[in-house]
Amino acid sequence: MHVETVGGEGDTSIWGLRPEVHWRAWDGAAVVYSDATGNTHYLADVAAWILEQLGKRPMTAAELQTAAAEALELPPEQGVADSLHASLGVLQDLKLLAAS
Amino acid sequence: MSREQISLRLGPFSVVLTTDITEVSSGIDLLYPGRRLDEMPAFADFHVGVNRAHGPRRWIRPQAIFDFDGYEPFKPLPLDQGLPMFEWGLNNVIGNTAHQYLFIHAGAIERNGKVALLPGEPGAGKSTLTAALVHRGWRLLSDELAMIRFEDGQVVPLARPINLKNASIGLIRALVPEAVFSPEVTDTVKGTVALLRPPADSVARVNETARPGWIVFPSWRADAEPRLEPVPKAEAFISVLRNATNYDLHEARGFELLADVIEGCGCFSFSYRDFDEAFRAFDALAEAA
Repeated sequence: MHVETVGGEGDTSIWGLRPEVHWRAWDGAAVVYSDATGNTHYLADVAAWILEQLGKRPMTAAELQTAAAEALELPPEQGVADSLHASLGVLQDLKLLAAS
Repeated sequence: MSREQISLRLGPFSVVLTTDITEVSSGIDLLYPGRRLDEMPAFADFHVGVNRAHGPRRWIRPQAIFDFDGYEPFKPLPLDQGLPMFEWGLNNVIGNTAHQYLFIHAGAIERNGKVALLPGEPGAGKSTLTAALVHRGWRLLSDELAMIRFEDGQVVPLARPINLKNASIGLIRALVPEAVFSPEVTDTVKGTVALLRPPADSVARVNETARPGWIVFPSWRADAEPRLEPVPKAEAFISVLRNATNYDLHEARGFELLADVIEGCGCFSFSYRDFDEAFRAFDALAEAA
């Protein structure tokens, strides 16, 4: 069984949007369509923020955590990291993101 | 009555209707005055029929049957529902075949070159609101099928009769005493229905497309405080998506078009309890544009 660790400590994977993803973001929320699945999703809060960041350029989980801390004006504590890691996992399961 | 062929030009579509039901033929003249073509076209987009049922049902509790290119997609209905059957059937046929458009189950009305789309589930009051507003300064593009053209994102008019039901019929009769209605038909699946003839100005301008400018989700309630409130665009996208009947067919292209529409529109929810409140709110929208 293949088990992927999502953004754990020492994870240097580079996260990016899958090429078949179409998205728009407005005011902290986003809508996404995947050619791969044919599904349309509504994203809010952290998930929407991750999508917008990775829509600009691929990033590692650590870079995302630093950017989140700056954007949200929070210290880069484990709570932020956990939330990011959870959202990355969900977005990966939805086939919107890929790690390389 | 022997079968009559009626050729109509309805916006971008050429329709040939075959009917042996006198009330359907006279109803077409009532609701589509001046829109019959004198000659049968060499090509028509849609060939539909509303005719008396076969066999005993031709005479005993007579029924009408709708057909599209000879295929009968629906069960027969009582003969007196023939005219609304034509409207419902044509909606179904257009919505299932004319996929050069993105369809949204919504009213579409225009003022100052911008279209307000009024999406909503059955019972939300969008047809009633559409019927009222097109008699107060707004142009009718569509009652139930808002058609957005893929090539340029423009809303394409049909200017067809507005389907009203139950209490809405009386409300619009009172608001617009000169309005022309088809005979009321009772005991349909929607209750009592009547078709409201579109305003002449809307018909005269049926070839004028316009860009979407607002999306307004209407909600009538007797106890509602009038309220026009912004809806976040991502939420509006999902709400419109639920009413976009052929969105899935178009995949990414449908997503991009709908996103472009949302991008270019102010999005609102609107609750109201009487027409004057609606007129004020929509006047304000148009004037602020």
